[in-house]
Amino acid sequence: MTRGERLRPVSLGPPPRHQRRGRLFAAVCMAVTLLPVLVVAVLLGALVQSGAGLDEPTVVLHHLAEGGAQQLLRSVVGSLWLVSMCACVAVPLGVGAALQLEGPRRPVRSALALNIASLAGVPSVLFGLVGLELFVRALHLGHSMVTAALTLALVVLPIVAVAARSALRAVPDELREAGYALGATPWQVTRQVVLPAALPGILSGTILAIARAFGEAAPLLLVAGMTMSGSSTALGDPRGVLPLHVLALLVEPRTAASAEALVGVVVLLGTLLVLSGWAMHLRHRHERRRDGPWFEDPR
Amino acid sequence: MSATPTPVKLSMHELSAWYGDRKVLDRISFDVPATRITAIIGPSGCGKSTFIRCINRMHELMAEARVQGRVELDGHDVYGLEVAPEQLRRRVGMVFQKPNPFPTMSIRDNVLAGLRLTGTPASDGDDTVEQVLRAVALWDEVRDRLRSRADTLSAGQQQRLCIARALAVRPDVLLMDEPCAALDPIATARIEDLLGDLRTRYTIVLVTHNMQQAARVSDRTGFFLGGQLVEIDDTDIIFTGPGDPRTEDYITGKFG
Repeated sequence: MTRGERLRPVSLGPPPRHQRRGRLFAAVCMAVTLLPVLVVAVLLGALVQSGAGLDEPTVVLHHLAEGGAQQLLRSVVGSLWLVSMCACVAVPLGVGAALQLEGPRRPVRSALALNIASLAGVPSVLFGLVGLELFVRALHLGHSMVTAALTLALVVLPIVAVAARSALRAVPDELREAGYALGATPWQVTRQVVLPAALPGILSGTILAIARAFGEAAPLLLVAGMTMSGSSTALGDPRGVLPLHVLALLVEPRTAASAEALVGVVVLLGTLLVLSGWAMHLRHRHERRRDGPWFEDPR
Repeated sequence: MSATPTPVKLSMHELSAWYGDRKVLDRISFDVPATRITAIIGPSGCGKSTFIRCINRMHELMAEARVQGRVELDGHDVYGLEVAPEQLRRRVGMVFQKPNPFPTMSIRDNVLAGLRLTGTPASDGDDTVEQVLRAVALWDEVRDRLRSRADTLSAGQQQRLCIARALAVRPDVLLMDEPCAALDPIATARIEDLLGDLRTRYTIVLVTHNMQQAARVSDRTGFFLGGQLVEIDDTDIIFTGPGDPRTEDYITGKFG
């Protein structure tokens, strides 16, 4: 066969089998991608429906004006306060763990990494039990904000560690070598070369973990004293944080309370969306930077 | 060139290196003269990169890497117990195959990175920046944008920036591991010109797979094959009348 014969245009028959399979696979992937979108849509739909079904919206507005709004605001501040404390504990520990795991490969390290990754999938209520046993009963920290923050830190620590680890891995080895070749010690390379390069990835992982902590209710219920009655929105009381406040409103017999809970849910969702958006923004900036003309001529 | 004897800067004695059980360098012994360019040529996998990584002890950063034998810098064993590898690497700078400026730093900060990383106060920072950027012929191209990010430069400029970064630490020796492999011919020519300027002040060990480059810029050339040093001599001798038939075969393109 000569060269010219090989270059004939391909026939325009039905697509071959492997192509059809490829399309099927793409369709399945698309469906899987759309599934979370569907879940969010259903959630929002349910919210709108309950909002529209309110008997007396004016009563709700009245109650909000009477102090309900203030309570809500205080619960948001309480939540922010709580997740800040939680981040102060979880982020240094998580990044430290990731740095430790990213050292030279050893069997112990692989085992630890696997453990941490599995911890990220443990239901948070179990962390609540650990928090209750460890912080409340063994360490006598009481049903306090500190206990709640430490428990939440346990919940998000694996998430931070996994995200930080993948961010550290994404830093090219050439940069580490450049640092070593200039006479820097391993610690200097880590602190001044690797961490700055991995920072956007670490930050976006951290924000997602914080978002998780912000919406978490189950472990707090356990460490905050296992009560849903008498919602206290006093600052410094873990019972006052937003998810528990919403929960307390939901079980209150007052008619307007469930409507207020609805408002709380909207605030919660809004905050989570803002946090996720921020994380996406950081990630995007990071990726644009890495796609940039690093090794090629921009002109 | 062999007529003027120059002091020995680096001296290798029975240097062998391993990755795990695999021996990649086998009893290398030779001297590197001061303020000269010594080129190391040889086919891929002949151990030339491993060899220069043994000089500044970058080899030992790899897992399961091992070294035996001596490397002397000005007569002192760099593998001596009292030698900190970080101190050694400040005297023996290195330039890599791929330009690797720090992407999160500005051009200026990249030049000063070696000083900052190691905590050396750069009181005359601006002077140092201008001086080394002039030395690598980059000053006129970047003087107006010292604060822009280093990854906005072209690959050739990035590589010259990396050389400047290595020079800012004021080393005696410069190791270059195929510094032009990722560059186009024009950028390569500029680096080669630069090597000509730098040879008066620095001892340069240049690993290259490009024989013409070795012939153009180096004073001495060593030929590595299968982890062994086949021969080393003045560059014109290696390229006109090598002593070993294997060298001749490689240079004339019979293999490699």
